Amino acid sequence: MSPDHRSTRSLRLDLLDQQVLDGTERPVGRVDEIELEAGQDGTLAVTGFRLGGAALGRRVGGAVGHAMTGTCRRLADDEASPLLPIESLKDWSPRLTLHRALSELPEVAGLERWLGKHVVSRIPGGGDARV
Amino acid sequence: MSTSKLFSFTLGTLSAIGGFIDIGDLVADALVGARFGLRLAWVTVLAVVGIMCYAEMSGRIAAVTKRPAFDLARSRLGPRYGLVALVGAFLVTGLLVMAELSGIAFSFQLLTDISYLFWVPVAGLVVALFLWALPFEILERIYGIVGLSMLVFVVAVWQLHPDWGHLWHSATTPSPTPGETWPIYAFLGITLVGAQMTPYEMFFFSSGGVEHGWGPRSFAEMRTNVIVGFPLGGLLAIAIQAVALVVFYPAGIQVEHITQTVLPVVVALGKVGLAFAAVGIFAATFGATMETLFATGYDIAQYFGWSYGKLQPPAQAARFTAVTASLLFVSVALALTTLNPIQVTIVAVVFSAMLLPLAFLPVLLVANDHVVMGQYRNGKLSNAIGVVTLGVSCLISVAAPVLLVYTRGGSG
Repeated sequence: MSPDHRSTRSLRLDLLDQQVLDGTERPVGRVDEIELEAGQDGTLAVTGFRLGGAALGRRVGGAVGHAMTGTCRRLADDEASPLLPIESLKDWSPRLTLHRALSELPEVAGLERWLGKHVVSRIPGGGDARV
Repeated sequence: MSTSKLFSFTLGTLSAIGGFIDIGDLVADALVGARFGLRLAWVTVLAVVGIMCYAEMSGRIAAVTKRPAFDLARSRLGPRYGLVALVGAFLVTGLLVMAELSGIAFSFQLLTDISYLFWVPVAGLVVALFLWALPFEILERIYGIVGLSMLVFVVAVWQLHPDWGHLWHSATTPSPTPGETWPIYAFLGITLVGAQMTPYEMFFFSSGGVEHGWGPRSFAEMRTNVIVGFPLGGLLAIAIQAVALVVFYPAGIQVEHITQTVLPVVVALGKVGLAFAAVGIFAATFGATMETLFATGYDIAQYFGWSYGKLQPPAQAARFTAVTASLLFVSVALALTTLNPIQVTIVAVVFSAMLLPLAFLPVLLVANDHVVMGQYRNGKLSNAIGVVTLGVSCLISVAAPVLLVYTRGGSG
């Protein structure tokens, strides 16, 4: 959904729920929550966004959402779905891309990292999880 | 057109045929042919038109937006709609993985006469090894080409020397055969729709397109696959119904076992026919096992935004790899419970038919979105067929559960 030919961007269409790639174009998650801050004059500005099931669960709501958030909190080492500042986005179009590679973002996609390191890369032919 | 390009067209088309025929078709077509002959063949014709329309749309969306169909369900309709669609697709496609695996095992049983239960874990292991070791493109081509031996069903129609006038009369009589009731006729019609319009084909088709880096230039290739592949798959489906009509219907035989679906081929062509049919069933269900397995993994990965697919080493798509491996393991376990694969298949395709609107709606919406699709948005033809298909699928999703209970799964 490239917003190239439009002068404004829509939070709903261009940010929320969109796929996020890391600096090496590897998919890391989707924008599961956005954080807005009200300025002095009452205008809202996007300060950051969150990736991961804990944030998604809050939006899904109900028992299912609660279970999702709870599971992700228990699996996480520190805070589940931490806030990423909006400045960590390098590109908006054609896809949301972060400046840094996943290997430099220890707070993101913990389960992916754990499964890659402890399970999949141990099988012959599984490849290297660190790249 | 260069030779290599022509080659790639042919192979893509072959895999579209292979992708169309799976365990659902084998079961539903034989079942329908034995009870209603070709009187439901019109459903297959309409289902082929409908799925062609939606496969083309999702292929076009993938080429323009670089995103597969399921990705868009969430970003256009929100996380809750996406989650409901995801859970539905997971349950249906998950059940199908088990049924397709049993199909592979049955093809081994046909050749060795050892019970399919022995072959189920072997089939699971073969699928796991092939998926782990070979690139998807090669696998797709192998089962596409080997799957052509399913055409033995078409040859069998000729070899059985049917009364063509009788076949034509059956195909042009859209009503139940004497002694059968309208609810059962309708229920088996829905079974055919569920078997032939499978959303996983659509998701798989578009996810594959994204992985292959399709762009607007790939429209010709994508459309050739759709326009040639799906109708050939439909022809094969009608051939299976026809041989069942010729062999089973006069004898009053009901199809209760997957191995029965090949009986008409044996009657027509003997041992050689059986060999071809077994190899064809192996290729079709093997391909479908991989497709259903991957489609389920793709759906989940795309909903949560994980990396997926076979382009990167498995360790870099660890969550996707873990999910597909677990699903394969659970399917093997489920198949070993001796649950009747025919019953599981029927339940799976009927639920699949019920959930069709959930899968079609986001595709139709996005294909019409001016902002997203620009000049490549739907034309009048796509919209006309798409809207009618969506409407019919809504009716089906209301009628299917009622008929499922009322006809006791088609047996009452």
